Amino acid sequence: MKCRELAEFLNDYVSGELPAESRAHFEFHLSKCKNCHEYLVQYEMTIKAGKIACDEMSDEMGPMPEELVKAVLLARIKT
Amino acid sequence: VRVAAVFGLYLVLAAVLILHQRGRVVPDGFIDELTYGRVAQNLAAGDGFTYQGLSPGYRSLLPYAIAPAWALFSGSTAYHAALVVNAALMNLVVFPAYAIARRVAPFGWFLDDGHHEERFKSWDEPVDKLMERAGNREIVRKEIDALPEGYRTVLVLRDIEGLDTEETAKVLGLSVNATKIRLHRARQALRTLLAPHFRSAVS
Repeated sequence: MKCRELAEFLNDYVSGELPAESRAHFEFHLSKCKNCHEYLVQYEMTIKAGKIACDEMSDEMGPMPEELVKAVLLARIKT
Repeated sequence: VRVAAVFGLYLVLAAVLILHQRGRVVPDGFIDELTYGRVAQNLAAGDGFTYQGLSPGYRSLLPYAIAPAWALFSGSTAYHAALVVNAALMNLVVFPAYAIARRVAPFGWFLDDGHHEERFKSWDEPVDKLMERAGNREIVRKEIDALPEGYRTVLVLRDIEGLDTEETAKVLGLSVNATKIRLHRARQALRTLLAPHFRSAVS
């Protein structure tokens, strides 16, 4: 597995959806490539930073727009 | 004024020539020279980042720009002459957008051997520590706002509002797979935007 391929699988790896065999290749590459390991760390930090920064904003902004709430509820019902 | 006049004459000549040479003036190889231009065009069109496809506008402009080179020379000479025109076009027309694309390009760039071009430098502190400061939280919100709308929406729904992938896909009217890809691109783009703020220097 090359860095380019690893970058494409990051999303599935972070969400735990990567199949076992691919996960093994992924983690082997990570163990050998400090640069990809750092990229993964920053990818996860980015997700967390967005969550923390915007949680504060949503507290200040109050409720979501009604149309978006309806769309989200509709999606949940269909799921 | 002289430069504009010369460029105008060049375009007129190109327009005349292309009427006679339509269909054979643009070797596909030239398209590979335009990766960043393609990125810039896609970002400008609000389509986000993709390697696939040139915008129709650029595709139609390019033949006119390189037609004279292809008409006046032949073989490899024409190819190299057209490359010069192509480079000039990049500098004159596309470079500003190219510079933005370089900044926003979410994947990072890869060398021919498949490894990252950039050496990633660690962020200065753990994310919890960074986010304790209001200024840093403001930076994150500002950079999320700077994302193309499609990226921003999927990132907010999935990572901030906490919808799962299927719910997000239904809200956006996308397939689950397309939603996952778009979310991945959005996170990569945001990481690229945040990195200069949270590391001491780029190596």
